Amino acid sequence: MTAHVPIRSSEATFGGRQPHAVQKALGMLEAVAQLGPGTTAKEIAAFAGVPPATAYRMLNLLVADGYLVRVPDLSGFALGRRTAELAHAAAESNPSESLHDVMEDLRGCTRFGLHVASFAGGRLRFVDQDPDHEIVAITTLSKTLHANAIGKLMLAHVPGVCPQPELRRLTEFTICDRDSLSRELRDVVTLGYAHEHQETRPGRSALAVPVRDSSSFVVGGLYLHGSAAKVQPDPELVRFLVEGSSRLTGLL
Amino acid sequence: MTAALRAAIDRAQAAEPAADQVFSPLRALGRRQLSQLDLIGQSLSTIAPATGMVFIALWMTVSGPGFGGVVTIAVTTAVVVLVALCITGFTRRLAAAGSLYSFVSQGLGTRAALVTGTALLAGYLGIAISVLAHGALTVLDLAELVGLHLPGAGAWLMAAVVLGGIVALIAVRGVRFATRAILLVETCSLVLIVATMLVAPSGSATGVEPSASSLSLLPFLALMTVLSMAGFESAAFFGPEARRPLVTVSRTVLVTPLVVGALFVFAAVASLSGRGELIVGAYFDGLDSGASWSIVLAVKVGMACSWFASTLGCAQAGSRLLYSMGVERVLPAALARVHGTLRTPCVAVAAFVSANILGACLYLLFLQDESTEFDAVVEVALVTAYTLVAVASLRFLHRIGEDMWWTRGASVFVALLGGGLLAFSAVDGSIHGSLAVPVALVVLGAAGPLWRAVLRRLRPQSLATIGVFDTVETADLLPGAGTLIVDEQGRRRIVAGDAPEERM
Repeated sequence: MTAHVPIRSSEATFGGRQPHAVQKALGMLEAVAQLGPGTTAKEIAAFAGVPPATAYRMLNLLVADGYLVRVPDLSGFALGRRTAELAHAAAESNPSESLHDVMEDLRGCTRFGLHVASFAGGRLRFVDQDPDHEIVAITTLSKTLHANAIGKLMLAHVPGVCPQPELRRLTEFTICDRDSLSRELRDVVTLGYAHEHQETRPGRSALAVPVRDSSSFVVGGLYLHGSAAKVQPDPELVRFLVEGSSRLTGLL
Repeated sequence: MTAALRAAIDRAQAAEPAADQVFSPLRALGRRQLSQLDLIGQSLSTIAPATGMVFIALWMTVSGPGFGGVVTIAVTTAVVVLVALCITGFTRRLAAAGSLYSFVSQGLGTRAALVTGTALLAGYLGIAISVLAHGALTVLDLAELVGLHLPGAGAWLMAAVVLGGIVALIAVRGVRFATRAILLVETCSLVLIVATMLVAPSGSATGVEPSASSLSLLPFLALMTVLSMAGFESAAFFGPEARRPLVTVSRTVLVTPLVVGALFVFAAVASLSGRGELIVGAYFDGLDSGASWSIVLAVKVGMACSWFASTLGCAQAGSRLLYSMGVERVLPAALARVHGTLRTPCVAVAAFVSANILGACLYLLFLQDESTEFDAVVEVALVTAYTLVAVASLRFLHRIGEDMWWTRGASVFVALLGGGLLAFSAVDGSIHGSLAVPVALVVLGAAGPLWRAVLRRLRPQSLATIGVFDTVETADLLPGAGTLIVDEQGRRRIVAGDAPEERM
């Protein structure tokens, strides 16, 4: 999984006014960043100048919260995906709810897979994936924008992004006709959501709604997928997505 | 922020998503569903403290060990807390559906893991058989209380099959639903038992005669307390299905024996002052004890609920162990099959509950009146597992370089005490003419090497997978901070930079 929140460049540094525990935790993360994956607890404790008992306890908490991971033989550590959120924390004196926290909350309310993609730089990139519902062949989504809901959302909302020259047919439902696709993209803007019905994989459907920045520009999409029989653009599901995406405003 | 950390975060922003993802071998289970409360529910229900309290009250009342009995129970509780401390050495660092079996493999290798696996299967299945049989009998007692007379072995067996069937359905329906249902059931029965003990006057001596044990009284009481607390670590089976498992499971494993120990000490003290006699008489003698119809009904309902909750807790835990062994191919791979939408190990649940029902029927037919040796074998199996996990904790923490003086002290103490208790039980049992304990120990000791030899011959690749746990996934890593690969031997590793040309 890639970073969950935008990494803001900031010159803010953690100094003497931070609580002591935060300084220790940052020192241990720095040790892992400096020494590389596989660094042992002893090495981290020595590098950060933290007593071993304290270091072991804090390392376990950092692993439990996803800032560090244990390497598969359990003897060492590597940086975890949530470390990226520290950049956000460093830039905010009073950090608000993170994108990952909102997504975890939303995932608790649905049985379908829920992901967030960023459209930054005209490129489709998933920044927070549902760990329980992986997207099969995720790399093909960005190469076949016309055949999936998040791609259609991007085509409809992001100026300068065009469909691939050849509209490749992935299933019998894939829209391969340019006029039909143009109509579909107009509907995406009008209705406020994009729907994909077995266009990428037989038996799978998806919905996507835009995620906006604080100036209301579309900067990404909230993507929900599941079985074709259950994922339909019914008002309740669309409302859930729209409300969810509004909570993500400004977080991407 | 410091330089290396900032650089790592900047790299994460620029990194492309990994094309080939490596997933946890246990990801088929429903992940991150169980809260702290659910885990406590699972642990408490497996232990069924309400039933343990009644049996402690029975022994305290009938055998009259006096204050020594209370001290024995309190000391045994303290030892169980130390065992819990050894187990948290693992649960703070990994989440495994195989619980102690997977933990022991991390510290002591495959032979000891298979001994622990056998001990856990014997222990959990043994408890499940015993509680299902008692549950069936209590349900029939209840039927008789309300005027429905169902005589004969057929009625027992039918009650066991129906109860087992309900347990299987709830266990497959979903882990969260099951744990919440059993927490509710167990809390109700616990409140009932505690309230009855608090309000009961000092009664006359009960006429119940518990089956005689081959052991001396206080060691027997200690072993019975261990048996009554069996399953205190059952939350560890649910690490892969829990939220923040490294924190919540560890907390549950530590808190549960403290809570249950306090309840047992309360039951023992209440019995010393004669307050346990009403409940013991009402449960074991029914209306003949002189207790009113409503008290007998309330106590029996509470106990039936508790037996049922314990059966469900054991089925949930045992099925996760079978699932884990199925994933490793140590047992048939079919056991690793997970329900499509509910994401529970349905085949493993069916297998465990089937064995449970069959065992309960045999128990009802042949062991109902003489279960001391059966209980002794279950106790020995559990103590073996706890002793091995203590030794494994010592080795594991030393291997990863995170041992402290107090973790070493706790492990050595529990290992010596557990080993001593097993040796004493074997000798004491032999002196009193009971060979069940020494034979059980020999069988358990031989099971690991024998099982390993069979696997080496039939499925040698499964030996490399023993000890499967919820390993780190590609998505858990900070992009650019390392690459998770699966090497040619099937081992997972994190390497710096991009993946070398190896099988992903």
